[in-house]
Formats: sequence, C-alpha cells, structure tokens
Amino acid sequence: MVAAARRSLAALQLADGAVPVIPECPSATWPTSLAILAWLPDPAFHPHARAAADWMLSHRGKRWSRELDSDPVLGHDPGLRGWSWTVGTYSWVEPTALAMLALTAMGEGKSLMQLAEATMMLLDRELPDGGWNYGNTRVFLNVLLPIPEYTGLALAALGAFAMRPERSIIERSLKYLASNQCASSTPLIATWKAFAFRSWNKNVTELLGTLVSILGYQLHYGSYNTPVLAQLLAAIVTDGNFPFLTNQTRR
Amino acid sequence: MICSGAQGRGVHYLWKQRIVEIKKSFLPREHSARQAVFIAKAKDYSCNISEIIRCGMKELGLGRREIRGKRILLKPNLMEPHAQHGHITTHPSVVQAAAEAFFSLGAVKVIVAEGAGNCRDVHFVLEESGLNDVLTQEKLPFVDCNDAHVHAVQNLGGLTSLEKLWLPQLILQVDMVVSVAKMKTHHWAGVTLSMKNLFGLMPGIIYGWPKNVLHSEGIEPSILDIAATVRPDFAIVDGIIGMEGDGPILGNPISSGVIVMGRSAVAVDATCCRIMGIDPEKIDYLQAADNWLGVIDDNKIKQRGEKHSSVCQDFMLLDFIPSQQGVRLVR
Repeated sequence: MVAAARRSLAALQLADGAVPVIPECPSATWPTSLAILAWLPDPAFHPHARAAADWMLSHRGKRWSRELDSDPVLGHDPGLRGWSWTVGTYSWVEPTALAMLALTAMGEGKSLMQLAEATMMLLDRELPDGGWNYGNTRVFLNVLLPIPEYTGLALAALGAFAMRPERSIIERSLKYLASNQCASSTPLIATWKAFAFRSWNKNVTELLGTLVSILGYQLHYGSYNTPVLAQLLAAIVTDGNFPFLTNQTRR
Repeated sequence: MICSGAQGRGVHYLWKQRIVEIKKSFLPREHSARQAVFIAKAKDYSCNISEIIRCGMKELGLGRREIRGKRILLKPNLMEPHAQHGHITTHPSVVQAAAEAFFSLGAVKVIVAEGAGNCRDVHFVLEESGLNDVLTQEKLPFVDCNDAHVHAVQNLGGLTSLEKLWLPQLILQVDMVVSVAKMKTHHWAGVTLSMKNLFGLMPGIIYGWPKNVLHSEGIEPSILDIAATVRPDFAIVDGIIGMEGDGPILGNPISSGVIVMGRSAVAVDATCCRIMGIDPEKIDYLQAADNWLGVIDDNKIKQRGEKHSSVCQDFMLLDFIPSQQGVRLVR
C-alpha cells in the first residue's frame, strides 16, 4: 500500500521535478516537500526525491527589497526567502517549514544556504510575544495573532536544522505553544506540538497520550481526512520524533 | 500586496481600465426586482435571529415556492477565528438562524462551507469560531473548501490574469449559494462584506494560505472576478457586532445591531457601507461592480425594513490606512 502510494506520487511528478497537488494545476506545487518525505525511506525512489529537492532549491518564494522608510506597512523583511504554496508567489510559514523538514531529511550539503536563509525568514516572521501565524507579523500598526498549528510547524522545522537557532531565541514561542492558548486538542495542533516539543527536547510523555486520545475524537469531529490522519499517525508512531519518519534517526 | 499586501503594489490598475471596457459593452440588466435590501435591528445574539431572517426573506419575496426542495450552501466568514475575538467571524447563531430559516421554507439540505483564509487547521477553525457546536446541534454538514474536490471554471469577470477559477465541486451540487458575511472594515479593500466573503470559497490547496495567488492578482479585481463567476444567490450580513478600524482581524468590535440581507450582494454591501458611515461609491470594488454585477446607487436600491439612516453608525476609519482614507459618507 505504501509502495503504491509512493508510485502514485511519482506518477504525479512533473518533468522538472515538482509535484503538484493535481495534474491540472501544475502551479500548486506545495506537495513537493511532502513527496520527498514520503519517498526518502525507500531507496528506489531516491531519484524522484533528488529531482524534487533540486526543483525546490531553484524555486523559492518571491522576494523584494525592503525599503524601511518608504514601506512602513509590513513588519517583516520581504527580502528573506523561504518557500511558497504556489509557483511565483510569496514565502509563507507552512510551505517553508515543510520544505526545511524535507531538505534537512535529504541531507544538507546542497541546501545549506537556502536552509540558512529560510531559518532567518522564519525567525523574522516570529511574533514579538511568541508564536507564528501563516506568515505576517505586523501590518500597518498592529501586531497580528499567533496560531498554534503554524507555531508547531515552524518550531519543528527550526529544530530539525543542524544550524538551528539558540533556544533562547525561540523560547517565547515554546512557551506560547505550551500555554492554554494552544490547549485546543485538534489533530494538527497536537501533532505539530509533539514534533516541535520533541525537537526542542521538551517532555512529550503526556502529549503522546493526548495524540492517541485524539484518534478517538473522530466520533466528535467525524472521520479525519487522510492528510490529517496521516500526520496524526506519524506523530504517534514516532513518539513525536520527526526525523525517525525518514530513517534519519532511530527511536 | 503581500496580503495581504504589497505584492500587487503598482501593478494592478489595469483592471480599472478593463472595467470601463466591460461597462461599455455591458447591457445593464433590469436589476430592480433583485435590488431590494432588508435591514433589521438585532440588539444582540440572544434575539430571535431566525425569525428576523425569515421576516427578511418574506419581505424580499423569497418564499417556500422558491426554496422548497433546494440544497443551500451557507458560506460564513471564518477567515481566522480566535475565541477571544468573536467579532472577526460570522457569529454561529447567525449561521444557525439562517439554516433554520431555509429549512422552515422547505430546503432539503443546508450545507455550511468555508475555506478559512489564514488557517489550514479546519478543526481549530470550527472550535475557535464556536461553529462546531452549532453544526453538531443542528446536524449540519460542513465542507472545508480549502481541501475539497475542485473543478475549474471560466473566470467570468476577466479582471485578473486568471483565465480559470478553481472552485469546490460542491458549488455544482447546490442550488443556492448564500454569503453569510460579517460587517467589517478591511485594511486592504476598505470593507469586507458579502462579496469579499466569497474569497473563502476558493480552495487553499490551489491558492494557498492566505489566498496568496488572489492577493498577487490584486484583491479588488479578485473580489470582482469571484463575484462575477460565483454569482451568490443571497446575502446575509451579520452586523450585530461588527468590526471597525484595522479589520479584518485587529479592528475593534462595534455594536451596530443590524442584520442586512438581500438577493444582490452588491446592493447589500452598498447598504452595509451606508450603515457603517462609508460611501460605497468610494470603495473601488463596489464602484466597479455598480451597473455590472448590481447597483450601489441608493436611489436604485429598494429599502425594506429599517431605513439605513435610522441604524447608521460611523465605523472608525484609520487615517494611516490608504483604503480607508476619504471614504467617509457625507450626509
């Protein structure tokens, strides 16, 4: 079943290496990093993963120079690049975090500079009181609000990179993610909280129990769709150890 | 712009020229039958909103004959819910009341659908907005437009460079699309009401979070393209508690105490502007929609229920936000 899924991803892959969400919309390329993560454990698919990674390294998000004096609208630096959801658009938190996780799993030799810039981009988008949202910090005068799922993703990605930032820099975001503001037990919040905490060596014992409980919440929410269920199961079977998904470490 | 924001800076004024061409070649339809707008006072969310909506539907000539057996899609605004900031999103009581009203007129199915602009985690969206309890209580199905099966349709507006728009297949499976929006100011578009609310139909798996492709194309032409293509059948705006100032997220709550509804999203939005103390002719996308997708001229809109002059309350506008400069309605 897993091999068939990997083959179907390979069938979706475009000649240039990108993996679109559907063939009819080749510009929606955000699944490329997920495909890399799916292919990596099987050496037979490594050529697909390599082609996808090469595509990602040459297709980062759009950027432009910040002119501080003439552009007081945005709080972040639009010159720092991560990755976008679709070709030719701006860098946002989730596609950047997923790309960082995928490229880190590939091995960092070829992508060191891009991963370093993506790290800077994520840190630049961190909210002043901790946490991340989809990727804006301040627009006009007001600071925007954090969202738990994106915070977990960003922390997991930053924690996975060998040149990760000092913990003191992201401590406020770890605190936010551990706070009551993020107590909501949705599958995605709990999943990315587990990956984030584990990657920053926070205790996840209680959280792992919560993850299993959340499987049972389907009676309340209805059945989770496949992507949500897959992420939840990934966190459960790895005890929140993201690198284990791609055989980078032993549990 | 990046988005919401600056990406489109200086690039997207061609759409205004295109609007001129569209209007030259467009034979205005006889809008009058569809341009009535109903305004009701609603002090707070504990009042009988369902009865208010039923009353409005009756005033607007939307009755059992038209609704019986129909499948209705309700599209609330849940773009970025935060439990402590309920004025960001359509209140669940309004969604519940709209569903009750359509069922009372014989609707065979009511589906709630939304693709939150800034949140991918749909379970978080439903929990934080409070909508999950209503869905459970009323046994209403919910479709996450961000992650739904999609199909491409021709872009009937033609103001952006997008030849096709991707929409949830659900749109093909319902008989009526009802925008159930929130009454808010907006720091890029001036206001967000029933037309801007349609952004949430656009699937995130195609357009990203936020819907960055649309922002890159320009928010205003995108609003018009989507409205021209989807053509919502009915609009309800939750103005019981609205948002003023730095909307759509960080503005302040304002108790405006109204529900506004009508068959024309354009006329409803123009009326909401007047209630908010904003001149709809100074909101670029509404002016562009005038005499094309609907009308905004007060003299061409038949007011039902309360007069907008009797419920108007100036929403705070911020002088450092370009889209809110010079749009105050002069009475």
